[in-house]
Amino acid sequence: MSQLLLLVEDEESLRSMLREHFLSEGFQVVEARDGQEAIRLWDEFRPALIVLDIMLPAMSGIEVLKQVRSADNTPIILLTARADEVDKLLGLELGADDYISKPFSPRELSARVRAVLRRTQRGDEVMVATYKNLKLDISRFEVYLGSTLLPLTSTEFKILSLLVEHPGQVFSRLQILERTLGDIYEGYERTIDTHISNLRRKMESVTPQDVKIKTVYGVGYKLMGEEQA
Amino acid sequence: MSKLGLAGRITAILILIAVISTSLSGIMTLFITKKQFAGYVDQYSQATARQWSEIANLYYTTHGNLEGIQELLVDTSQAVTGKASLRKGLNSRVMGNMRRLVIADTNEQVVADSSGVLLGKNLDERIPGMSKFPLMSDENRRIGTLYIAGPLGAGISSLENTFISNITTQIIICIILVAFLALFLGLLLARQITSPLGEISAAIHQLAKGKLGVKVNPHGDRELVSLAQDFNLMAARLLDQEQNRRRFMSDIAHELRTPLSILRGRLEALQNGKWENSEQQASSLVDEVIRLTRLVKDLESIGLAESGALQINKAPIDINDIVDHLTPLRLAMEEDQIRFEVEIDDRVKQVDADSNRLMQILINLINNAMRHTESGGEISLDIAEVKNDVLFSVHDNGSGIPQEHLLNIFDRFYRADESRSRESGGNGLGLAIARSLVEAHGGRIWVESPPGQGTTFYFTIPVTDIRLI
Repeated sequence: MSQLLLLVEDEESLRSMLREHFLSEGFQVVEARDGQEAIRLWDEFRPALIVLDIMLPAMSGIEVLKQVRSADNTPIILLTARADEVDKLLGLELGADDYISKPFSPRELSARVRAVLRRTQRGDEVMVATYKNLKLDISRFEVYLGSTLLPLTSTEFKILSLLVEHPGQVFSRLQILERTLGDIYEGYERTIDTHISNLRRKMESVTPQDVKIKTVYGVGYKLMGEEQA
Repeated sequence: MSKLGLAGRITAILILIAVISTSLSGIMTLFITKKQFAGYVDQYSQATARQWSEIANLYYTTHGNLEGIQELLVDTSQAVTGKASLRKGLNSRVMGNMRRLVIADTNEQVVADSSGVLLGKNLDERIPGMSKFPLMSDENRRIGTLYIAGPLGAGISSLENTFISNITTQIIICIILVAFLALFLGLLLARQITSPLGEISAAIHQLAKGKLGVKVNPHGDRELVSLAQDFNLMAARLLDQEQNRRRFMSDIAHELRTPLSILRGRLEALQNGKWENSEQQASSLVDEVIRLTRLVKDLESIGLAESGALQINKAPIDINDIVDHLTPLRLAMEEDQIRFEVEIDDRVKQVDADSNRLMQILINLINNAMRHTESGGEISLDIAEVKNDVLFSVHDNGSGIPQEHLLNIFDRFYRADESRSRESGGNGLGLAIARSLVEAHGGRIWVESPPGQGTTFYFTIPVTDIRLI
């Protein structure tokens, strides 16, 4: 089931980039350039979630947020250009579900969109990501390889879920680090190697294994099927 | 008064004080002079009265009444005669200055008048301007009345008047002179006071126009010298800040230039097909962008912290959690064969801080320590409670920091070792961020690096009362 997102962003290039990204991630997108258009489109389409820039012409994102909240609980993720904590807090107190500050990774944004949707549409589906015989229960932080539960640390779980979401794609150590430990650890990309080797060891203890984490020399890691290796 | 200005006010007050004090002393002089004169005149009148009452008594005893005493009076007043019996006890010097005398008998009939005008007339009332003295006989019987002319009109009185009017004139001249002197001195003094003020004011205008190099020459009174010195201090600080800001801006530009050049070069190579679109290339571009993003975030948190707008969300953090979060660093140190030791004071269980910020402070400090520690070295983290603070110290046994760099070590983009590259030296913001985050927590940060003993960074996080409950 593909869900409809309302994307409110006044900057043309960023908006089209995000549109392409969301489409490639399997969402449907309607776009608004300013606050008034956002309200109109929200009223017309009733999207599953709104990605809302705070700084907008005509009507600010905060104003849009207030109007939407006065009517219903459509999930809203705020985009802020300034990590000004005031903006963030104000946004959250007014009922935003999450925020992300520019510059951000589109992949990170779609992960948050999924997380918010998962949270707000609780119960209807168990969020599971699978690849080959690898199964991740994201809501319970559990990983099954075949039928065996892997005892993973939270960092290992985060690494694996990043790789499972995009199988076959190479991630640099810095990318993995940023997603799993946060950007304050920049410069410690090598510690990812330790986590990966632990992860591999745990996965290799289970047979049969259809998947493995492959080292791409000079780049990073990717998840791939055993037969491709 | 307020529109008069400092100079006007000082001058006016000086003149006022001068005039008042001169007038007062003049009035005092006049008063004292008059009093002295009056006392003198009074004394003289008494002496004269005493003489004449003796003379009258003698005359009365001889003649049985005062008829004919006029003769004696005129005689005495006109010349000094040889009547020794009548002039007993008289002072001839005083007699020469004799004033008008009138003698009346018991019926108020004038029997003698030195000017002869009232002779033979009846005195019904007191003669104005004359002092009255009773004349008594030996048997203490009233035999008549002696009138002595008052100071006015008499020779001695006009002398007194001349004297007093002389003094008055001189006092008035004095007041005018002193007022002018006060005016002159006041203007001089005011000029002396206001000229440094004028200089400072001119310097402030220069400063407002952006000439930050301006300085004033401290002179004048102590307060004005200190004001000028304060101004110079302020101007120097502003200049310093401005230079700091400019350097910061150019440093930012420089720091952005490198990753942007890399990105541009690689993207253009991709664009014109010289570079194959491989996973490796794409990943390196992403890494470069992640570093750029990180730099932007760092700059932002420094900016926020310096403008005091950094939001610190304090919450009690378990000390063990902090240590757990250092795992990536621990792993990196293992790989570099650096020994890492953590020592925690038993009393410290929790620290009240913003978890992410505290981690960033620690990571930045340990990061810095790692960069200056050779393989086989040692880094230690101590957490202890000192007074009302939790004291963190990060020690390394590395090469240490030369003294001349210690002062600037927390400056943005300051690198003790200029030759360090971006990769090996970090982005030059780590310690600056650590400092701003510590200060945002209300703590202190400092560094000690005795030669040959490695380097220790210390910082404190204040203990809040929550822990005491």
